[in-house]
Amino acid sequence: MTPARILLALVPAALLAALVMLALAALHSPALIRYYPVLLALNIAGIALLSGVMVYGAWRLALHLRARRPGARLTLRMLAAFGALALAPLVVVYFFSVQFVNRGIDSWFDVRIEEALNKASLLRRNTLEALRRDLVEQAAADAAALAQTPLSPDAATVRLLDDLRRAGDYEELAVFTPGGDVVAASGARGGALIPLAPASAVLATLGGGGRGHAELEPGDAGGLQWRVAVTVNQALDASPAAALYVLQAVKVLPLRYATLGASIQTALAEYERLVFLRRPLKFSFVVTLTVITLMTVLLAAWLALMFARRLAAPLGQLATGQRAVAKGDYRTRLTVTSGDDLGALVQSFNEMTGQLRQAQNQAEQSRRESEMQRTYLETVMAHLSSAVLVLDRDFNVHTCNKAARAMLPLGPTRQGRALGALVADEPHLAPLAEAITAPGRDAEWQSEVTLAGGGGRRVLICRCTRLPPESGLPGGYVAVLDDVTDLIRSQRDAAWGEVARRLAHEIKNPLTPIRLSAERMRQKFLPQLEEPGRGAMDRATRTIVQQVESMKRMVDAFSGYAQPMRMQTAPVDLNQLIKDVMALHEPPAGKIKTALELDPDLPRPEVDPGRMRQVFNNLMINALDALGGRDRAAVTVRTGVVRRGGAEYVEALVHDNGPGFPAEILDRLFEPYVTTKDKGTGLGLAIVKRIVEEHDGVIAAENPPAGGALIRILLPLR
Amino acid sequence: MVTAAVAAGVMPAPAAARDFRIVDVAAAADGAAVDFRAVLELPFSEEAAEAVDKGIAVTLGLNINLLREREWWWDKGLGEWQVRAEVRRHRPSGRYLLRVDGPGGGGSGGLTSGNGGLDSGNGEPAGDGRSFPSLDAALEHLGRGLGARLPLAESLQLRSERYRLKVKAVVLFDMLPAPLRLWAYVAPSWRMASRATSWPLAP
Repeated sequence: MTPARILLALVPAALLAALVMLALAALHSPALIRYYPVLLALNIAGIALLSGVMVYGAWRLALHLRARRPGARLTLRMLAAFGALALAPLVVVYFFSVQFVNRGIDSWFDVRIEEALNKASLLRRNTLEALRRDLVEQAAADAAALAQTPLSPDAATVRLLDDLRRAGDYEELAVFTPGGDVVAASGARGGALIPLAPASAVLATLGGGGRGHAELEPGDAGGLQWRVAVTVNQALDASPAAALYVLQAVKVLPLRYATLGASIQTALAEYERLVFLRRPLKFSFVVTLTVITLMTVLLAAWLALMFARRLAAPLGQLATGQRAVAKGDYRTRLTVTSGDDLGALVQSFNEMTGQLRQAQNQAEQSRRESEMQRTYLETVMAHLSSAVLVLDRDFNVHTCNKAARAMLPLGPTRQGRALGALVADEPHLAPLAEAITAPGRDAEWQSEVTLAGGGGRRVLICRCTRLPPESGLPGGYVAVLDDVTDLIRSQRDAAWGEVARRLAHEIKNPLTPIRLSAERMRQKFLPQLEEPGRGAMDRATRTIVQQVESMKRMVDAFSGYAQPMRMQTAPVDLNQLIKDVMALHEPPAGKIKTALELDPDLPRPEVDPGRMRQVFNNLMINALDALGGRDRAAVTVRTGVVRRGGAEYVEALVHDNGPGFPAEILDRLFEPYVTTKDKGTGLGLAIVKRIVEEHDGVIAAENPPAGGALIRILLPLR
Repeated sequence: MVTAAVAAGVMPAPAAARDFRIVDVAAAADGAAVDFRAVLELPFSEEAAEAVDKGIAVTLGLNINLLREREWWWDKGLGEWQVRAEVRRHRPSGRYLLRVDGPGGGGSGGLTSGNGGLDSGNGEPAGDGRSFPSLDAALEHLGRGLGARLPLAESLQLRSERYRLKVKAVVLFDMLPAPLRLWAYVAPSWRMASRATSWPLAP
């Protein structure tokens, strides 16, 4: 137990002890009554101390209320409740106690008792007055007897006094001069003591003409005795002026009168004493009661304040803790100050915050891990060349990666939309939607989808998988799309290359003996033949030679297409190169109009000038062939610089106003043996494409809305 | 409010206090004791007189301090004495009795005006010298000369040192009946006391 707590326990105990002692002292405890003022002062000091403590406590409570400190309002309520519970009974008890004390003390003083005592006192006084008169008369008679004899301090006078004393049953009989000097005396207890002289006032009264004086005085052994003084006038005329002596008689009041009178007087005195003490007694009780009540009230209020504080402290702590928890701070730990229910509550709160904190940490850990996973997946998906589409069970687009948005194409707003709605906006996606939503699929399925969009014909491999229930999107689907257009095209190119090599190997080799054989036949048998056999031989051998030569050219062309190209690049003025090619293909005047729209500031790309001349030569041949026989035919060649994907390209456009490319071959235009010309080899555009691609360039064919055919070549600027 | 109402009924009413006065002190020292005698004025308030009339004994105390004067320091106390005089009314006779107790032989042990260790009279008894017809007469008689022989624990150096007696007359509340004590402490009518007066001690 801390010193503060010990002090806190000792102070109320000491105050209670002082209170009890004051109460006992007020009840006239013999041991404590002498310390009554000290105890009263102690209690008043205690009241002052407690008042100070309460004022301080109220001030602190007011500050806490103003600061809206948690628990302050509860403390105030409990203090008010405890105070009302303690104060109301105390006030009632105090009020009735005070009334009881006042009425109780007043009830001691009965009017009838007082009247009886007064009457008894009056009776006593009357009796004593009668006795006094008789005694004065008797003493006067004795004085008259003495007046007949000359008085002197001699034995005769003493004997006379003795006789009179015995006769009158006096305790003492003495003669004094008017000045108070003893002349002679007679006492029942002998003459050892000098009799006390009458008081000077008595002597003066007698000297002034009074007949006699008698008064009662305390006697020996607590009794009463009469002291009577009368004049002894020895003159014949008995004039007061002739009085020479004073006779003083002391007579003990008879015991029965004394006892009776003493009883009456004692009772009356005690009654009067009590009457006098009534008000101080009331005051004493009321003050004591007030001090005790005040002390009790303040003690109760103090204890109530402490109790309320102790009770509200954990609740205030809890309120603070709850606020912290509401703000997300789970580190709050409350101090358990007691082992009672509130302590258990605080303990539970601590356990709760601990669990919350643990859960928060776990959630935070999970969130971080999830975030990392998500980032990881996003990164992976963003860098995937395959398009990934995640759809829910209703085929609404849930997620799509960057490749999907570029491949299909889908904008950011497509996410969350139904696949059907996407098809409505983008009809070219209908085959894809059909492949994904086709009924009767298993958990995984795969199909090839061909889309013909603005970017050209695209061939996609669509692999769909139904998501498992624990995936977070139960019943959903994930579709992975791989654009295999280029792959197929490459495979096709490779196949054609292989075909070309085989043709070169399998066909070109027999051509030479065929040609040689035909020429030997011509040389050997033509001179020997006669017409018309000679003519037929001539035409046949010539045809064989021509066709063999044609086949050889074709096979050479195939070989050129299939064999790797050896490039000798250098910065080339592409505008000048185009002008040179155009000069070679200058058409007859008025037939076809050619136009050059060349960028004068065109940079020089690193190209093989021979190969590039071959490209433009083939393109011009194709264009002129396509425009043959058309009115107002025109070919336009444009050059310029464009930016694509952060890089600069030299762009060259060859545009004619012919019929355009047939739609059915548009996507296969650059494949070998794809041609619309009767006599074409079908390798012109395939070679053009190969040369451009050998320069890391891009070539595309399209039919622009304005009409005609357009070949677009992009050559990178390094 | 209740307390105030109740207190208003029982609280002592303001009344003028009457102060005692020490008129004269005669003191002479010999080797063993100091013969002390004081002349006092002891006016009682009406309430105190009524208390005596109603049979309550009132005890007066005469507090005497013997001090040796020092020049550069507080005076040194050499002894303290208290002479007590009880005044009460003898109800059966209606007279007032005096009883004086104090140091110097233990007092007379009874009602006295004699010249034993204590002396409450000056040789001129009021009434019969033991009881008095009125309170004023008794107090007047007491005030004419209240004396005592104060025994000394050490002999005084009267020729080389200066001594003085500090005297104060008070009502001894502790001797009052218990119910009256608290009242006497707070009631102005019971604040009867003299000022502390100093008197030189003659050899």
